[in-house]
Amino acid sequence: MGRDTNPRKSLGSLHGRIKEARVLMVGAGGIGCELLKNLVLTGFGEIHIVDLDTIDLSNLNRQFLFGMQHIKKSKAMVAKETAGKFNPNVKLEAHHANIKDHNFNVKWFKTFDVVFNALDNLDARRHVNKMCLAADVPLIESGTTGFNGQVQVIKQRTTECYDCTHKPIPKSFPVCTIRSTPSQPIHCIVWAKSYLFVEIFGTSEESSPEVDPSENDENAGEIANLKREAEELKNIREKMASPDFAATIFGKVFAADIDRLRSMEDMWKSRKLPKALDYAQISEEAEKIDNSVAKNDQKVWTLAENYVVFADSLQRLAKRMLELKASVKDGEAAPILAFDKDDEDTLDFVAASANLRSLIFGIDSKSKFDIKQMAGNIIPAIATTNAITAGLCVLQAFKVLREDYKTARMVFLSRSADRAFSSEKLSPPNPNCEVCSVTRITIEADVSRATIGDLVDKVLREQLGYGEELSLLTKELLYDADYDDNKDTPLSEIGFGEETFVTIVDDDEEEPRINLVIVVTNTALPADGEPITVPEKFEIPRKLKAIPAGNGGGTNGLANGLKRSHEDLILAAGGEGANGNGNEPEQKKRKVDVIVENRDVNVKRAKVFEEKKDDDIIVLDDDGFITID
Amino acid sequence: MAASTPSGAPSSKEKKYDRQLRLWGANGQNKLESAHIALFNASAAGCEILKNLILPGVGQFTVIDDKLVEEADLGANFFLDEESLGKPRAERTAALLGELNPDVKGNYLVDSLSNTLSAKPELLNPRSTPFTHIVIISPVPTPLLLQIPIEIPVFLVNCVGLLFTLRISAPLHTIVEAHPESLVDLRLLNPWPELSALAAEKTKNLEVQQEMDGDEGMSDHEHGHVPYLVLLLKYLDDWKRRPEGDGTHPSSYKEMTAFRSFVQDKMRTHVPGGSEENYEEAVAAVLKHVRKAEVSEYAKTVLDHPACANVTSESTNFWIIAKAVKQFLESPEQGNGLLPLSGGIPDMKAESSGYVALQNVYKNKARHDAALVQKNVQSILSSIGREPSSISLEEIEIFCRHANFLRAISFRPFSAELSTDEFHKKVVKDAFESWDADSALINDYVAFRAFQEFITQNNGRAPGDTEGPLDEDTVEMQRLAKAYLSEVGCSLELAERTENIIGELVRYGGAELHNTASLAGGLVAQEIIKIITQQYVPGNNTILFDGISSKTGTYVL
Ligand SMILES: [Zn+2]
Repeated sequence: MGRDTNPRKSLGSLHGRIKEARVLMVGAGGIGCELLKNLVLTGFGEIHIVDLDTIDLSNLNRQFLFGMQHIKKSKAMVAKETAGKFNPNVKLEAHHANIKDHNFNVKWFKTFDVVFNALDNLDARRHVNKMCLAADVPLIESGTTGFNGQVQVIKQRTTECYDCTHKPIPKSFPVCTIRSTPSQPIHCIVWAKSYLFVEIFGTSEESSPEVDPSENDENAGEIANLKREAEELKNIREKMASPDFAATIFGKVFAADIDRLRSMEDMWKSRKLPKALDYAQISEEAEKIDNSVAKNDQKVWTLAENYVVFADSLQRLAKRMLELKASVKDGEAAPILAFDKDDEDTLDFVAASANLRSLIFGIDSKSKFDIKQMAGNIIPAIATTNAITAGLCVLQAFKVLREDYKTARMVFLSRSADRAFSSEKLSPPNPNCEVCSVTRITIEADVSRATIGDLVDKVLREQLGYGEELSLLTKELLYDADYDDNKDTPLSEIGFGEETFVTIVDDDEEEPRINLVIVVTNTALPADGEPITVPEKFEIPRKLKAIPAGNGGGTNGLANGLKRSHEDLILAAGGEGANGNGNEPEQKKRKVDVIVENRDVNVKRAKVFEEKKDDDIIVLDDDGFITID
Repeated sequence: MAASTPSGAPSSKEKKYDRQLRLWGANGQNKLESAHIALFNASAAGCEILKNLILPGVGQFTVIDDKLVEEADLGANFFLDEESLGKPRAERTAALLGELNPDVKGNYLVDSLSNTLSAKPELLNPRSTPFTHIVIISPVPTPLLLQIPIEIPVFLVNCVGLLFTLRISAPLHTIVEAHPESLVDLRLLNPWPELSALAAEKTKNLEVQQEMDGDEGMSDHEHGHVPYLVLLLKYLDDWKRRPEGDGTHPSSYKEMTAFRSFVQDKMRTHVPGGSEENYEEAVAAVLKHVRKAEVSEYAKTVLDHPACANVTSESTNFWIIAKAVKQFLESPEQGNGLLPLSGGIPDMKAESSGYVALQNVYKNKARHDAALVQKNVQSILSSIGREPSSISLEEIEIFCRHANFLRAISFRPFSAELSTDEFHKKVVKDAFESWDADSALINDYVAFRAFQEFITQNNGRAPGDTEGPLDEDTVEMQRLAKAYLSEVGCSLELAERTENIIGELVRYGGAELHNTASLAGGLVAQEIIKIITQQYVPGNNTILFDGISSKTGTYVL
C-alpha cells in the first residue's frame, strides 16, 4: 500500500492527469492554506504559490499552515515550507511577490494547466481574470465571507468571466459630508481615518477612494475653506515633539474648526448645529481615567474616555513618528504612518477621533470593536467555510482537467444546512463584456523606439484595416481621431512596460469592429529594422447591433461570434443594416434563433437571481451521474 | 491622566479570534472554549473536523483510535508524517493537531469504540463523561452506535471517495441567536402611543409648502428628510380615514399596491432631481414592512413546547425566559398578543436628529418590554426556588430581541431511524414522490443505508475493502438496498442513481480521499460549531454530499 493508494483507487485515470498537472495558486490566505493542503495531498504535480502578504496574528484562527513563530514572514514561503513536507512527490515553488509584477506575464500564465484564485481583493482578482483570458488558461475563482462562499470556473470563450457580471464598487461619500456635514457614524470614521490621520501622519496628497472630491457650484466655497483648514493642520504637524501637541490638535479639529462650521448659517438651517468640545473641562475629567480604557473594545466610551484614548494614542503615534524621522538619512523620503486595522495605535486613534467627532454632531458613538470592522472593511472569516470552498475548488479542477465544462459548476455556499450549498450550470460569456468579449493579439515592440503612430498606422490601419475613427486606451486615452498629441512619442514614455494591454475601440459609425486587445511585449528588435512586429492580416469581427436593453442587452456569445463570418453577424444582429443577402429565409431564421437563445439565457439568469434573493429555493440541476473512470 | 502604556492592545487571544468573534460573539466563543470533543477513528475526515474546531479555539479534544499508522494514511491525512509510521494513530494525530493552537488541550486514548463502551463505560455515561460532543467516523456497526446514550450529541460521518454523509443525534437543542437576515420589526400596523405621537408631530405640516424662512410649513429640505417610517405611519392613518375607504388598513395585494401609489402621489416633484429619496424608500418598504405583527411558527413551537409549560428547578435559562415571554404574550397588560419588540430600525434617509428620535422610541419600547419580561422571569425563578436575580437583564434583552426567531429542534435518535419507524418510512416515501426524485440525494441515502447494514453484517468491514472480487460485495449491497426499500414500502427497483452510488461505494472500498475528507471536515465542523454555540440553525438531521455533481441534500430521517 503506497501513499497514493486512495487517490489512485478513487480517481482512476484522472489521477495520472493530476500528477502531470502544473497549477498556479494566487493567494496563500484562508482559502489558500486549505487549497494548498488539498492540492498537495491530492498529488498535483507542480504547484506555484504567489502571495505578497506577510503573516499576522489574526490569520492564525484559520490559516493553519502558519504558527506564532511565522508572524511577519512571507505567506507564500511559509506555506510552501509547511505543506511541502506532506508529499515529497510534489514540486512546490513560492513567490513572495505581487501577482501584478511584470515578470508574471501572459507567457508565464500560459505555462499552467489551471490557475486558482484564492484572493481577497477585487483588483487582483480582475487582473488574474484578464491574464488567464489572455493566456487561455482555465481559472477557478473563489471567495468567502463569514459562512458564505462561492466557486466559479472561468474559461475563455466558454464561460462567463469574472467581469461579465457587475461587481459592486466600494461606497464613497461626498467630501462635504465627510468634512462638514456628517450624519452617520461611518462619516466620522472615514473622516478620522482618511482625513485626520492622513494629515497628521501620512502624505496628505493621497486621495482616498472613500471620499469623492468632486466640486460643484454649490460646494465650491466650502471646498476652499476645507483646503485652508487642511493647510493649518499640516502646520501643527511640525509641533509633533511639543508636549502640548495633543491639546493643539484637539483645539483645532474639535473646537476651532467646529466653530468655523457653526458660523456657516445656511448649512445648519435644517440640520442640527454641531457643538465644539471644551478642552479644559474634558481634560480635567480625563485625569481620573486610566489609559487602559483603550483595551475595552466592546464598550462605547464616554466623552472623557474617548479623549483619554485620543491623547494617549496620539502620543504613541507621535513617538513612533519621531523615532522614524530620527532614523531617516538625508535624501530619503520623509517617513509616514499608514492606518492599519490591526495596528492598535492607529486603530485607537481613529476610533477615539471618530467618536469625538460623532459627539460633536450628535451622532451615535461606536465601540472600538465595531469601528475596527467599519474602518478596516473587515470580513468575518472562519476555517470551516474556507475548507468547504477549497474542497469545492479542487472538485471543479477535476472537471477542468478533463475539459468537462458541461458538468463544471458555479457553486454558492450559505450558512444554512438545509441547503449547505447550491450549484448552477456555468453561463456563457456576456457578449457585452469588455474584458472577455474581445479579440486578442500579441505583438512585439521595442517600446523605446516604437510610437503610437507605428501602432496606429502600421498595425491597425495598414494591416488590420481600421479607418480614421478609432481610440487607443490603456488606463487612460492614448489616442483618438481628435487627440493625436502622443503620436510621435515613444511608447516607453507613455507608460508602456515589459507587457502592456492596449484596448482598441473602433469608433466607426457604420460597422464597428468588436474591441481589440493588443498585448504589447517589449522586445529588443534590430535597430536598423522596424521597431514593431506586424501581425498577419486577419478580419476582426464586427460588433453586433445591441438588442434593446431589457432583454439584458444580450446578443450572441463571442464564442459563436468569432466563428461566424462578417455577414452572418450583421444578420444576427437583427437585420438592421443588413446587406443584399438579408432576405434569404434560411439566414433570417438563424437571426431569430440567436435572439431567442439569448433571451432564454437572460431570463433564466434573472430568475435564478430572484430566487437567491428570496433565499428559499435551491437551484437544482438535472445533470446525470458521471462516473470518473 | 495616568501614564502612557506602550500599547492599548487587546489580549493576543482576542486578536487571534477577531474574525470569528464577528460571527458568534464573546458568548459563542465562551461556549466553544468550554466544549470537549471526542473523536472516534482518527481518519483524515476525523482529523480535518478536529482541525476546524481547534483553530477557532475549542476547549479540549480527545482522539480515540486503536490503529497503527500505515503508508496509505500519509497520503490522505495531513496530520500524520513520515515519523508517524508504525506508531499509534491516536497518539500521532493528537500531537500534530495539538500544534495548531496552543490554547487547546489535546488528549488521546489508544482504543476502539467497542472496547471503550465495554471496558471504560464511565467515558460514555452521560453523568460521568468528560466529553460534551462526540464525533464518530464510520465504519461502526449499528449495535455499537445504539449503545451510545442519547443524552450526548453525536456526529456520525461516513466519508468514502467523493461522497460523504453526516448524521446528527442530539438532545433537545435550543437556539436564541438564529442570526436571521434581519431582526427588524417595525409594527407599522400595531403602533404604540409614543410611536403614533412622534409620527403625528413629525408630519404636522407635511402638506404645507413653506415659502419663506419662519413661515408655516415644511421646506423642501425638511420634506425630503422625513424618515420613511414616519411617512408610512402617517399615510396608513390617512388611508384608513379616506372617505371612500372602509376604515381598515390595506391588506390584500391589490390594496397594498393601491396604498403604494397613494404614498407615491404625495411626493414633491418640483425638487431637484424630480423625486424625494425618503418617499422612494417609503414606497419600496410597503410590501416588506406594512404587515401585522405575528408570532412565527418557529417561535410558536418553542412557546407551546411542554418544556416551556413545565418549568422546574432543573430547567435551563432558555425555558425560563421562554415561559416569561409566553406570559408577556398572553397578558392583556403586557404584550396583549404581541411578542416583545426587537427594537432595531433600518437605515433611512433622515436628518440625524430625526433619526435618533425615532430610534429612541423603538429602543425605549424594547427596553420597556424586556423589563416586563424580566419581572415575569423573576417571579418564575422565585416559584422554582432560584435566586430571582440569577438571570441577568442582558440575557433577557438578547432573548427578547430574538423572540420571533427562537428555535427548539428535536433531533431523532439513531434508533428511530435504524429501526425504520413509521415517521422514517413516511419521510423516505415522500422524498421518492418529489418532482426531482431521480436526481435527489435520497437515492444516495438508500445506498448508504445498505452500506451501514453491510458494515454491521461484516463486523465493521466496508464493502469493496477486500482482496477478493468486488462483484460479490456489489451484489450484496444491492440486495441490502432492496431489502431496505421493501421495509420502507417502496418499489423494489433500485434507482439508477442508487445503483451508481453503490458502485462508487464498493469501488472506493471505504477509502477516504483527502479532498473530500477536507470538505467534510469543513461542513461537519460548521454544524458542530452551530450546536456548541447554540447560534445559527444546524442541519436536521442528515446531510448528504455528492462530490461528483457538487450537490447536497438534507433529510429528517
Ligand atoms: Zn467577461
